[in-house]
Amino acid sequence: MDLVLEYVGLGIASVFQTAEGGIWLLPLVMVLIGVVIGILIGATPGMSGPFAMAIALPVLVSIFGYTNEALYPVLGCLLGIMKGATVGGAVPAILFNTPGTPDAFLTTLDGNPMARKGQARKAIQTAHFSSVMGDNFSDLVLFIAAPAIAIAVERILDLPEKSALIILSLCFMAAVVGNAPLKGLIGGLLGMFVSLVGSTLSGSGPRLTLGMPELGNGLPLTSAVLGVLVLSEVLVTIEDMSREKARNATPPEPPEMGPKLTWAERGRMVPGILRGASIGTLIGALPGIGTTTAATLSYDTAKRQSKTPEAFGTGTPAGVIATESANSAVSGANLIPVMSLGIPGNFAAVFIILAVETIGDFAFGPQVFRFTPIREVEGFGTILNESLVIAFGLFTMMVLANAFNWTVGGALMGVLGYLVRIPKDVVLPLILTVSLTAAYVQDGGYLGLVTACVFAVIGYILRRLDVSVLPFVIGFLLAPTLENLVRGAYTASGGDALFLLKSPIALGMLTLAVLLLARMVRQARRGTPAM
Amino acid sequence: MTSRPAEASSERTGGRWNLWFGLVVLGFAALCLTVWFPRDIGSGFLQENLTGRVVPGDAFFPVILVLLMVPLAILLIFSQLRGGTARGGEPVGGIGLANLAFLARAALVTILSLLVMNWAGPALVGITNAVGLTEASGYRALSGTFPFNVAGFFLGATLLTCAFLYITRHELRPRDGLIAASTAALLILLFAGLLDNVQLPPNADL
Repeated sequence: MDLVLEYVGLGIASVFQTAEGGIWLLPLVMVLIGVVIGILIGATPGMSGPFAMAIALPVLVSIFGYTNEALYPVLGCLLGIMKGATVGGAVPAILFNTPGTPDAFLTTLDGNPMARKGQARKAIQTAHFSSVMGDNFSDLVLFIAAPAIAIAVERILDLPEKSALIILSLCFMAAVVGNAPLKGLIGGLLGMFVSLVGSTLSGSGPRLTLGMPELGNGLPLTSAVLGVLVLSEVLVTIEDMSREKARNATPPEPPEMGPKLTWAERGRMVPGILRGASIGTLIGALPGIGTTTAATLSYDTAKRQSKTPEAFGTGTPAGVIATESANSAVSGANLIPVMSLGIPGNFAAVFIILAVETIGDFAFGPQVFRFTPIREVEGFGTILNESLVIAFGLFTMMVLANAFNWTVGGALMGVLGYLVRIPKDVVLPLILTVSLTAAYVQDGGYLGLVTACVFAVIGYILRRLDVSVLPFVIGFLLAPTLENLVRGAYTASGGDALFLLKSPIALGMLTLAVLLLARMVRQARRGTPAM
Repeated sequence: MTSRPAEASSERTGGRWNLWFGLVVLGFAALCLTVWFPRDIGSGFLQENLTGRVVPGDAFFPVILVLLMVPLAILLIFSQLRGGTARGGEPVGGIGLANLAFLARAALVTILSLLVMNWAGPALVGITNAVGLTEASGYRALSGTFPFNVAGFFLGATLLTCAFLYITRHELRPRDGLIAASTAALLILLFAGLLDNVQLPPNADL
């Protein structure tokens, strides 16, 4: 226990101290900036947390560079944006029946009727209280679960089992994301394949470059993800808006704000918040299942367990509590597979992983949580697990972001209604220009920009065919890890063709993956959605 | 992030796109295994290392990935054919001529904006040379000097934003131009003004 506390202490200190021991407030400031940006973005039509993270990442890397010292400021800002956006989306949903983020959609069901009944302030404060409490709850689970899972994985899983786990995760993700699991899985494999372009393993030179020397260092990672996730979405939305030819209607005047939420009312909300947060945390810990599923499940559960289910949808605070606590709890829990296994489960987690892969030499995975005894060795200095210190540093920044969400978030919530007036048809072209500039700036010129454009077209095609882009992106990010694991497992088995099936755990995971696949095929035949 | 008319497109195109998608994947797999991999991967599926041990070659993982795509594509096609009707099989959207026309328009305005970005700086140097304000040998000589270093980006980025604004709403107001120019100026201030280790387009490719 002393060792754990020692690492926690070092992690907290690393956020506020330089290596030389001086005071360092930059990470704190960047978390604050991130939270404010996230809250504002969350309330802006056409924007979402992952969008802002995608654009912010290249800008932050340009500012802070690629060294280990850049890790905290960059990740602090990204974590702040991720958390801030979960709060901001509720305000336009409540005031104008226009969700700022997709996960705030269900908040409109009861939030807007509350506002129309003259309880807008109460609805906003309920959303804020539930959202931040839910986020805090899932962070606590993350702090405990991520190290526990990582330690278990390190003890139990070897190369074949880790390979099987990634395969199972990808199958699971394809099965639960979108309505076309078979195409989703093919998309995941294509994503893996594309990431191999230009990669080098042995002395045989880079692979799959089509004779283009520019691809010899591999595809620019950030530009590719920016293209497939952000630019393709912008293109699809611009096209839809262009077809609709609909002008943005001027939003109505904000409704009467009404009375404040009392502390007694807050106290009565706690059981509902804990129920919603538990559902959100459970859903969020599974890769691929998003905030909307968590909010829907939580809303349905709250309605079923309520003594007055008929009040749901007419402006009951219980509806706002259920959706906001659940969708915010997803954000912390989504980092459980990221930090313990290195497997991203949603778009926000993709950008956290991208930042880590771009900057310094820290990497997520079970190895992070090795509690190496801290000791001084003469001539070598202090021997410890630096990655574990960084992990606890990240946890510290998440706590700071939560504190800012409580304070700054609460203060900002009241004035966010004005952001709904920003027209979406202006925001989207601006996102496109900023994204292309960011791709050029970070990835060293036109190679980055062209990569972003090519991947935007790939993402556009996938989206138009109703194939989720999430498995493609996750496959793209996980391919190098999976290749190393599979090659290592094959070599360690002495060239056994059945190297993945020799371990009972790996066999169990692969069987589960095959069962998922069979379920996908059955659903594909029936033409019914996956889950 | 946005609502899309997926249902409408599914009904419009039916499941033919599942067949096309599956067939394209099968064709891609065949192309990879017979043409691309043999020519573009330095070592084979397996290779012998210096100690004489058989280890995976550079083609090991790509071949496994492509081979995994084959049964999935067959399943996709099979489930579509077993569905029997245009609505059978996995839900699928579609890409029509209107989509391709939109992509072509988007590509055209992007390429035009990038060309403006690329050539506006050299053009400005040419003009200032012609009127005697500068005596530079070319754009490269002034690519670190304001306003030559950012002129191309300013014009190109403003044009790009305006073009997509026009595509989105079918009209362009003076205020839109102002917003586009302000955004380009803001990006210049951030990347060229505050940061000294990054270069805006086209200066990293000179």
